[in-house]
Amino acid sequence: MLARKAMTDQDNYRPRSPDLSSLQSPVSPSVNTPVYQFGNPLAHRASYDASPFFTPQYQSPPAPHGRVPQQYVPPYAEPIPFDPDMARRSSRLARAAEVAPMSPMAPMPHMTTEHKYMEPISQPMPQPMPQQPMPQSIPQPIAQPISPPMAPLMSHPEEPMPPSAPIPVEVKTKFPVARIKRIMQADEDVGKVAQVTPIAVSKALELFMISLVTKAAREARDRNSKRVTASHLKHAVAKDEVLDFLADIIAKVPDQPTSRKHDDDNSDGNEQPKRKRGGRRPKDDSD
Amino acid sequence: MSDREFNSNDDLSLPKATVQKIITEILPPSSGQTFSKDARDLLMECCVEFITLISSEANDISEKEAKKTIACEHVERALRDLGFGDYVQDVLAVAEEHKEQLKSREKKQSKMEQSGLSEEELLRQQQELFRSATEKYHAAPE
Repeated sequence: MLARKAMTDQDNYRPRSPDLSSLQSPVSPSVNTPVYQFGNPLAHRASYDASPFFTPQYQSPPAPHGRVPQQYVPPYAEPIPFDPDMARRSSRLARAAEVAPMSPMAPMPHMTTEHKYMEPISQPMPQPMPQQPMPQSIPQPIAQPISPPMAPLMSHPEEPMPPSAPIPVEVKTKFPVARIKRIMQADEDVGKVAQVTPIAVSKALELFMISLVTKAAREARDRNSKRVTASHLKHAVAKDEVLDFLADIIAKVPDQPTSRKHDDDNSDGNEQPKRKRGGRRPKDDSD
Repeated sequence: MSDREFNSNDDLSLPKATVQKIITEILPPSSGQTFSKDARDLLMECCVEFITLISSEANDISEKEAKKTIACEHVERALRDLGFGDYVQDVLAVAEEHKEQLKSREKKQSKMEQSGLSEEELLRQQQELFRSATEKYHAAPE
Protein backbone atom coordinates (compact mmCIF):
# COMPACT_ATOMS: atom_id res chain seq x y z
CA MET A 1 0.00 0.00 0.00
CA LEU A 2 2.52 2.43 1.13
CA ALA A 3 4.92 1.52 -1.59
CA ARG A 4 2.29 1.84 -4.22
CA LYS A 5 1.33 5.24 -3.00
CA ALA A 6 4.91 6.34 -3.04
CA MET A 7 5.28 5.09 -6.57
CA THR A 8 2.29 6.95 -7.88
CA ASP A 9 3.56 10.01 -6.19
CA GLN A 10 6.83 9.61 -7.92
CA ASP A 11 5.23 9.02 -11.26
CA ASN A 12 3.50 12.29 -11.00
CA TYR A 13 6.49 14.45 -11.29
CA ARG A 14 9.37 12.45 -12.63
CA PRO A 15 10.20 9.20 -14.36
CA ARG A 16 11.00 6.16 -12.38
CA SER A 17 14.64 5.98 -13.14
CA PRO A 18 15.86 9.43 -12.39
CA ASP A 19 19.52 8.65 -12.70
CA LEU A 20 19.40 7.70 -16.31
CA SER A 21 17.28 10.54 -17.47
CA SER A 22 19.38 13.09 -15.73
CA LEU A 23 22.44 11.63 -17.36
CA GLN A 24 21.15 11.29 -20.86
CA SER A 25 18.70 14.02 -21.57
CA PRO A 26 21.13 16.93 -21.68
CA VAL A 27 22.91 15.34 -24.60
CA SER A 28 21.09 14.68 -27.80
CA PRO A 29 18.79 11.76 -27.05
CA SER A 30 19.69 9.77 -30.16
CA VAL A 31 23.23 9.18 -29.02
CA ASN A 32 23.27 6.81 -26.17
CA THR A 33 26.97 6.31 -26.03
CA PRO A 34 29.27 8.65 -24.23
CA VAL A 35 30.72 11.28 -26.49
CA TYR A 36 34.35 12.00 -26.05
CA GLN A 37 36.03 15.13 -27.21
CA PHE A 38 39.15 15.04 -29.23
CA GLY A 39 42.08 15.10 -26.94
CA ASN A 40 40.16 13.33 -24.30
CA PRO A 41 42.27 10.41 -23.17
CA LEU A 42 39.21 8.26 -23.57
CA ALA A 43 38.42 9.42 -27.07
CA HIS A 44 39.51 6.18 -28.60
CA ARG A 45 36.96 4.41 -26.51
CA ALA A 46 34.05 5.99 -28.23
CA SER A 47 34.28 3.80 -31.26
CA TYR A 48 34.63 0.72 -29.14
CA ASP A 49 31.62 1.58 -27.08
CA ALA A 50 29.54 2.30 -30.11
CA SER A 51 30.52 -0.87 -31.82
CA PRO A 52 27.91 -3.58 -31.56
CA PHE A 53 30.66 -6.16 -31.39
CA PHE A 54 32.26 -4.81 -28.33
CA THR A 55 30.64 -5.92 -25.16
CA PRO A 56 33.00 -5.56 -22.32
CA GLN A 57 32.79 -8.78 -20.42
CA TYR A 58 34.64 -9.36 -17.31
CA GLN A 59 35.08 -13.05 -16.93
CA SER A 60 35.64 -14.32 -13.52
CA PRO A 61 39.02 -15.94 -13.32
CA PRO A 62 38.84 -19.65 -14.07
CA ALA A 63 38.41 -21.83 -11.10
CA PRO A 64 41.54 -23.59 -10.01
CA HIS A 65 41.61 -26.87 -11.79
CA GLY A 66 43.83 -29.40 -13.42
CA ARG A 67 45.32 -30.78 -10.30
CA VAL A 68 43.99 -34.09 -9.23
CA PRO A 69 43.12 -33.75 -5.62
CA GLN A 70 45.97 -35.30 -3.79
CA GLN A 71 44.52 -37.48 -1.19
CA TYR A 72 46.47 -38.70 1.66
CA VAL A 73 47.59 -42.22 0.93
CA PRO A 74 48.21 -44.30 3.98
CA PRO A 75 51.72 -45.69 3.95
CA TYR A 76 50.55 -49.27 4.16
CA ALA A 77 49.06 -50.99 1.18
CA GLU A 78 45.32 -51.37 1.34
CA PRO A 79 43.21 -54.01 -0.31
CA ILE A 80 41.33 -51.38 -2.27
CA PRO A 81 42.42 -51.73 -5.90
CA PHE A 82 42.31 -48.11 -6.83
CA ASP A 83 40.54 -44.91 -6.21
CA PRO A 84 36.95 -45.75 -7.08
CA ASP A 85 36.10 -42.22 -8.01
CA MET A 86 38.94 -41.91 -10.44
CA ALA A 87 38.22 -45.27 -11.93
CA ARG A 88 34.57 -44.55 -12.38
CA ARG A 89 35.31 -41.27 -14.01
CA SER A 90 37.88 -42.70 -16.33
CA SER A 91 35.73 -45.61 -17.30
CA ARG A 92 32.91 -43.30 -18.13
CA LEU A 93 35.18 -41.23 -20.28
CA ALA A 94 36.61 -44.27 -21.89
CA ARG A 95 33.20 -45.54 -22.72
CA ALA A 96 32.18 -42.22 -24.17
CA ALA A 97 35.27 -42.24 -26.31
CA GLU A 98 34.57 -45.77 -27.33
CA VAL A 99 31.05 -45.22 -28.51
CA ALA A 100 32.12 -42.54 -30.89
CA PRO A 101 34.65 -44.38 -33.04
CA MET A 102 32.92 -47.71 -32.96
CA SER A 103 29.55 -46.84 -34.45
CA PRO A 104 30.75 -45.30 -37.73
CA MET A 105 33.14 -48.16 -38.17
CA ALA A 106 32.43 -48.82 -41.82
CA PRO A 107 32.84 -45.41 -43.46
CA MET A 108 36.37 -44.78 -42.33
CA PRO A 109 38.68 -45.84 -45.09
CA HIS A 110 41.44 -43.41 -44.29
CA MET A 111 42.42 -44.90 -41.01
CA THR A 112 46.11 -45.12 -40.50
CA THR A 113 48.32 -47.55 -38.73
CA GLU A 114 47.45 -46.31 -35.32
CA HIS A 115 43.85 -47.25 -35.81
CA LYS A 116 44.48 -50.70 -36.96
CA TYR A 117 44.85 -51.54 -33.31
CA MET A 118 41.20 -50.91 -32.85
CA GLU A 119 40.34 -54.55 -32.96
CA PRO A 120 37.34 -55.65 -31.01
CA ILE A 121 39.57 -57.92 -29.01
CA SER A 122 41.24 -55.24 -27.04
CA GLN A 123 38.14 -53.38 -26.08
CA PRO A 124 38.39 -52.23 -22.53
CA MET A 125 34.69 -52.78 -21.76
CA PRO A 126 34.64 -50.32 -18.94
CA GLN A 127 32.03 -50.73 -16.28
CA PRO A 128 30.70 -48.15 -13.94
CA MET A 129 31.70 -50.13 -10.89
CA PRO A 130 35.19 -51.47 -11.23
CA GLN A 131 35.21 -52.73 -7.68
CA GLN A 132 33.23 -55.77 -8.67
CA PRO A 133 34.93 -57.72 -11.40
CA MET A 134 31.77 -59.05 -13.12
CA PRO A 135 33.72 -60.70 -15.91
CA GLN A 136 32.02 -60.76 -19.29
CA SER A 137 28.63 -59.77 -18.02
CA ILE A 138 27.94 -57.33 -20.80
CA PRO A 139 26.38 -58.99 -23.79
CA GLN A 140 28.56 -57.48 -26.41
CA PRO A 141 29.64 -58.93 -29.73
CA ILE A 142 33.23 -59.44 -28.77
CA ALA A 143 35.20 -61.85 -30.79
CA GLN A 144 37.35 -63.23 -28.04
CA PRO A 145 37.32 -62.90 -24.31
CA ILE A 146 40.01 -60.71 -22.95
CA SER A 147 40.56 -62.32 -19.62
CA PRO A 148 44.27 -63.02 -19.86
CA PRO A 149 46.15 -59.94 -20.95
CA MET A 150 48.59 -62.08 -22.82
CA ALA A 151 45.95 -63.60 -25.03
CA PRO A 152 45.81 -60.82 -27.62
CA LEU A 153 49.47 -61.33 -28.29
CA MET A 154 48.91 -64.88 -29.34
CA SER A 155 45.56 -64.69 -31.03
CA HIS A 156 46.23 -61.92 -33.43
CA PRO A 157 47.01 -63.42 -36.77
CA GLU A 158 46.28 -60.42 -38.96
CA GLU A 159 48.58 -58.15 -37.02
CA PRO A 160 52.03 -58.02 -38.60
CA MET A 161 53.81 -57.48 -35.34
CA PRO A 162 57.44 -58.27 -34.70
CA PRO A 163 57.75 -61.01 -32.10
CA SER A 164 58.76 -58.85 -29.19
CA ALA A 165 56.49 -55.98 -30.09
CA PRO A 166 54.22 -54.45 -27.52
CA ILE A 167 50.86 -56.02 -27.16
CA PRO A 168 48.28 -54.57 -29.49
CA VAL A 169 46.27 -52.62 -27.01
CA GLU A 170 44.48 -49.58 -28.22
CA VAL A 171 45.03 -46.73 -25.85
CA LYS A 172 42.81 -43.81 -26.57
CA THR A 173 43.99 -41.61 -23.80
CA LYS A 174 46.84 -39.40 -24.86
CA PHE A 175 49.46 -37.77 -22.76
CA PRO A 176 49.55 -34.00 -22.61
CA VAL A 177 52.18 -33.09 -25.14
CA ALA A 178 53.19 -29.93 -23.33
CA ARG A 179 53.93 -31.90 -20.22
CA ILE A 180 56.02 -34.38 -22.15
CA LYS A 181 57.98 -31.56 -23.64
CA ARG A 182 58.54 -30.03 -20.23
CA ILE A 183 59.79 -33.32 -18.86
CA MET A 184 62.12 -33.66 -21.82
CA GLN A 185 63.49 -30.20 -21.31
CA ALA A 186 63.89 -30.65 -17.59
CA ASP A 187 67.24 -32.09 -18.56
CA GLU A 188 69.38 -29.04 -18.89
CA ASP A 189 71.36 -30.46 -21.77
CA VAL A 190 68.28 -30.85 -23.87
CA GLY A 191 67.86 -27.77 -25.93
CA LYS A 192 65.32 -27.05 -28.60
CA VAL A 193 62.86 -29.68 -29.61
CA ALA A 194 60.99 -29.91 -32.88
CA GLN A 195 57.25 -29.68 -32.81
CA VAL A 196 56.67 -33.33 -33.64
CA THR A 197 59.25 -34.61 -31.23
CA PRO A 198 57.16 -34.58 -28.06
CA ILE A 199 54.37 -36.21 -29.99
CA ALA A 200 56.69 -38.97 -31.12
CA VAL A 201 58.03 -39.35 -27.60
CA SER A 202 54.59 -39.56 -26.11
CA LYS A 203 53.68 -42.32 -28.53
CA ALA A 204 56.84 -44.15 -27.55
CA LEU A 205 55.93 -43.59 -23.92
CA GLU A 206 52.50 -45.02 -24.50
CA LEU A 207 54.00 -48.17 -25.98
CA PHE A 208 56.50 -48.33 -23.16
CA MET A 209 53.73 -48.07 -20.62
CA ILE A 210 51.68 -50.76 -22.30
CA SER A 211 54.65 -53.06 -22.23
CA LEU A 212 55.41 -52.37 -18.57
CA VAL A 213 51.82 -52.77 -17.43
CA THR A 214 51.39 -55.96 -19.41
CA LYS A 215 54.61 -57.43 -18.12
CA ALA A 216 53.73 -56.55 -14.55
CA ALA A 217 50.28 -58.03 -14.99
CA ARG A 218 51.80 -61.22 -16.32
CA GLU A 219 54.11 -61.35 -13.35
CA ALA A 220 51.16 -60.93 -11.01
CA ARG A 221 49.25 -63.65 -12.80
CA ASP A 222 52.17 -66.02 -12.53
CA ARG A 223 52.06 -65.49 -8.80
CA ASN A 224 48.31 -65.97 -8.66
CA SER A 225 47.68 -62.42 -7.69
CA LYS A 226 44.80 -60.44 -9.04
CA ARG A 227 46.35 -57.28 -7.86
CA VAL A 228 49.40 -55.96 -9.63
CA THR A 229 51.73 -54.48 -7.07
CA ALA A 230 54.90 -52.48 -7.26
CA SER A 231 56.91 -55.56 -6.52
CA HIS A 232 55.40 -57.35 -9.53
CA LEU A 233 56.39 -54.42 -11.63
CA LYS A 234 59.83 -54.54 -10.12
CA HIS A 235 60.30 -58.18 -10.99
CA ALA A 236 59.05 -57.60 -14.51
CA VAL A 237 61.53 -54.78 -14.96
CA ALA A 238 64.39 -56.75 -13.48
CA LYS A 239 63.87 -59.55 -15.98
CA ASP A 240 64.34 -57.33 -19.00
CA GLU A 241 67.79 -56.05 -19.68
CA VAL A 242 66.48 -53.34 -21.94
CA LEU A 243 64.95 -51.89 -18.81
CA ASP A 244 68.25 -51.70 -16.97
CA PHE A 245 67.97 -47.96 -16.87
CA LEU A 246 65.18 -48.37 -14.34
CA ALA A 247 67.43 -50.25 -11.93
CA ASP A 248 67.83 -47.32 -9.58
CA ILE A 249 64.14 -46.73 -9.42
CA ILE A 250 63.13 -50.30 -8.76
CA ALA A 251 65.94 -50.80 -6.28
CA LYS A 252 64.00 -49.04 -3.58
CA VAL A 253 60.94 -51.23 -3.92
CA PRO A 254 60.89 -53.97 -1.30
CA ASP A 255 60.52 -57.51 -2.47
CA GLN A 256 57.55 -58.61 -0.40
CA PRO A 257 54.38 -58.35 -2.41
CA THR A 258 52.26 -56.23 -0.10
CA SER A 259 54.59 -54.42 2.18
CA ARG A 260 54.71 -50.78 2.86
CA LYS A 261 57.10 -48.59 1.03
CA HIS A 262 59.93 -46.85 2.80
CA ASP A 263 61.16 -44.25 0.49
CA ASP A 264 61.90 -41.50 2.94
CA ASP A 265 65.59 -42.21 2.81
CA ASN A 266 66.15 -41.93 -0.91
CA SER A 267 65.03 -38.53 -1.94
CA ASP A 268 67.85 -38.24 -4.41
CA GLY A 269 66.38 -35.88 -6.90
CA ASN A 270 64.08 -38.30 -8.61
CA GLU A 271 61.01 -36.66 -9.98
CA GLN A 272 58.20 -38.41 -8.25
CA PRO A 273 55.14 -36.99 -6.60
CA LYS A 274 54.92 -39.56 -3.88
CA ARG A 275 57.36 -37.85 -1.61
CA LYS A 276 54.22 -36.94 0.27
CA ARG A 277 53.88 -40.46 1.47
CA GLY A 278 56.77 -40.14 3.84
CA GLY A 279 54.99 -38.34 6.60
CA ARG A 280 51.59 -37.11 7.40
CA ARG A 281 51.04 -33.55 6.65
CA PRO A 282 48.74 -31.69 8.99
CA LYS A 283 46.54 -30.62 6.11
CA ASP A 284 45.62 -34.13 5.10
CA ASP A 285 44.71 -35.38 8.53
CA SER A 286 41.01 -35.16 8.02
CA ASP A 287 40.46 -38.53 6.43
CA MET B 1 61.57 -20.00 -21.05
CA SER B 2 58.84 -20.05 -18.50
CA ASP B 3 59.14 -23.82 -18.42
CA ARG B 4 62.02 -23.48 -16.08
CA GLU B 5 60.02 -21.65 -13.52
CA PHE B 6 57.68 -24.54 -12.89
CA ASN B 7 60.39 -26.81 -11.79
CA SER B 8 58.48 -28.34 -8.96
CA ASN B 9 58.39 -32.08 -8.69
CA ASP B 10 54.73 -32.28 -9.45
CA ASP B 11 55.06 -30.71 -12.82
CA LEU B 12 57.79 -33.05 -13.86
CA SER B 13 55.73 -36.13 -13.44
CA LEU B 14 52.87 -37.36 -15.53
CA PRO B 15 49.30 -36.55 -14.62
CA LYS B 16 48.05 -39.29 -12.34
CA ALA B 17 44.57 -39.37 -13.77
CA THR B 18 45.84 -39.86 -17.29
CA VAL B 19 48.16 -42.62 -16.24
CA GLN B 20 45.39 -44.33 -14.33
CA LYS B 21 43.11 -44.06 -17.32
CA ILE B 22 45.65 -45.66 -19.59
CA ILE B 23 46.26 -48.43 -17.08
CA THR B 24 42.55 -49.11 -16.98
CA GLU B 25 42.51 -49.26 -20.75
CA ILE B 26 45.29 -51.80 -20.74
CA LEU B 27 43.90 -53.79 -17.84
CA PRO B 28 40.14 -53.37 -18.10
CA PRO B 29 38.01 -54.51 -15.17
CA SER B 30 36.99 -57.51 -17.22
CA SER B 31 40.57 -58.74 -17.16
CA GLY B 32 40.10 -59.43 -13.47
CA GLN B 33 43.35 -57.74 -12.62
CA THR B 34 43.81 -54.47 -10.87
CA PHE B 35 46.78 -52.21 -10.67
CA SER B 36 47.69 -51.07 -7.20
CA LYS B 37 48.48 -47.51 -6.34
CA ASP B 38 52.07 -48.14 -5.43
CA ALA B 39 52.54 -49.93 -8.73
CA ARG B 40 51.06 -46.97 -10.51
CA ASP B 41 53.37 -44.56 -8.75
CA LEU B 42 56.33 -46.72 -9.62
CA LEU B 43 55.12 -46.93 -13.19
CA MET B 44 54.96 -43.16 -13.37
CA GLU B 45 58.51 -42.88 -12.16
CA CYS B 46 59.61 -45.37 -14.75
CA CYS B 47 57.82 -43.42 -17.43
CA VAL B 48 59.49 -40.17 -16.49
CA GLU B 49 62.82 -41.95 -16.49
CA PHE B 50 62.03 -43.33 -19.91
CA ILE B 51 61.33 -39.87 -21.27
CA THR B 52 64.52 -38.56 -19.77
CA LEU B 53 66.50 -41.43 -21.19
CA ILE B 54 65.08 -41.08 -24.68
CA SER B 55 65.44 -37.35 -24.81
CA SER B 56 68.98 -37.29 -23.53
CA GLU B 57 69.98 -39.99 -26.00
CA ALA B 58 68.21 -38.15 -28.80
CA ASN B 59 69.93 -34.99 -27.66
CA ASP B 60 73.35 -36.63 -27.90
CA ILE B 61 72.55 -37.89 -31.36
CA SER B 62 71.41 -34.50 -32.54
CA GLU B 63 74.50 -32.86 -31.08
CA LYS B 64 76.71 -35.29 -32.93
CA GLU B 65 75.03 -34.18 -36.10
CA ALA B 66 75.58 -30.58 -35.08
CA LYS B 67 71.86 -30.00 -35.03
CA LYS B 68 70.38 -27.59 -32.57
CA THR B 69 66.90 -29.02 -32.53
CA ILE B 70 65.94 -32.54 -31.61
CA ALA B 71 63.98 -33.88 -34.53
CA CYS B 72 61.92 -36.97 -34.96
CA GLU B 73 64.78 -38.88 -36.61
CA HIS B 74 66.87 -38.41 -33.52
CA VAL B 75 64.16 -39.88 -31.36
CA GLU B 76 63.89 -42.73 -33.82
CA ARG B 77 67.62 -43.43 -33.64
CA ALA B 78 67.57 -43.14 -29.87
CA LEU B 79 64.78 -45.67 -29.64
CA ARG B 80 66.68 -48.08 -31.85
CA ASP B 81 69.93 -47.62 -29.99
CA LEU B 82 68.33 -48.17 -26.62
CA GLY B 83 66.56 -51.35 -27.59
CA PHE B 84 63.13 -49.98 -28.30
CA GLY B 85 63.26 -50.53 -32.02
CA ASP B 86 59.83 -52.11 -31.89
CA TYR B 87 58.31 -48.76 -31.16
CA VAL B 88 59.78 -47.01 -34.16
CA GLN B 89 57.16 -48.02 -36.66
CA ASP B 90 54.25 -46.73 -34.61
CA VAL B 91 56.09 -43.64 -33.50
CA LEU B 92 56.87 -42.70 -37.07
CA ALA B 93 53.27 -43.34 -38.06
CA VAL B 94 52.06 -40.94 -35.40
CA ALA B 95 54.62 -38.33 -36.39
CA GLU B 96 53.58 -38.70 -40.02
CA GLU B 97 49.96 -38.32 -39.08
CA HIS B 98 50.77 -35.16 -37.24
CA LYS B 99 52.65 -33.78 -40.21
CA GLU B 100 49.69 -34.56 -42.44
CA GLN B 101 47.42 -32.75 -40.07
CA LEU B 102 49.63 -29.71 -40.16
CA LYS B 103 49.70 -29.80 -43.93
CA SER B 104 45.96 -29.99 -44.31
CA ARG B 105 45.59 -27.18 -41.83
CA GLU B 106 47.85 -25.02 -43.92
CA LYS B 107 45.98 -25.89 -47.06
CA LYS B 108 42.73 -24.76 -45.60
CA GLN B 109 44.22 -21.36 -45.01
CA SER B 110 45.15 -20.62 -48.58
CA LYS B 111 42.08 -20.91 -50.68
CA MET B 112 44.01 -19.81 -53.73
CA GLU B 113 46.26 -22.84 -53.65
CA GLN B 114 43.35 -25.12 -53.01
CA SER B 115 41.61 -24.05 -56.22
CA GLY B 116 44.42 -25.65 -58.18
CA LEU B 117 44.50 -22.85 -60.71
CA SER B 118 47.42 -20.71 -61.69
CA GLU B 119 47.50 -17.06 -60.77
CA GLU B 120 46.92 -15.94 -64.37
CA GLU B 121 43.93 -18.19 -64.61
CA LEU B 122 42.48 -16.76 -61.44
CA LEU B 123 43.11 -13.21 -62.62
CA ARG B 124 41.40 -13.96 -65.88
CA GLN B 125 38.38 -15.34 -64.06
CA GLN B 126 38.25 -12.25 -61.95
CA GLN B 127 38.29 -9.98 -64.98
CA GLU B 128 35.55 -12.10 -66.48
CA LEU B 129 33.43 -11.62 -63.39
CA PHE B 130 34.04 -7.87 -63.45
CA ARG B 131 33.00 -7.65 -67.05
CA SER B 132 29.82 -9.64 -66.61
CA ALA B 133 28.93 -7.53 -63.60
CA THR B 134 29.43 -4.33 -65.59
CA GLU B 135 27.32 -5.65 -68.41
CA LYS B 136 24.57 -6.59 -66.02
CA TYR B 137 24.72 -3.17 -64.48
CA HIS B 138 24.42 -1.39 -67.81
CA ALA B 139 21.75 -3.70 -69.08
CA ALA B 140 19.54 -3.14 -66.09
CA PRO B 141 16.69 -0.69 -66.73
CA GLU B 142 16.86 2.57 -64.88
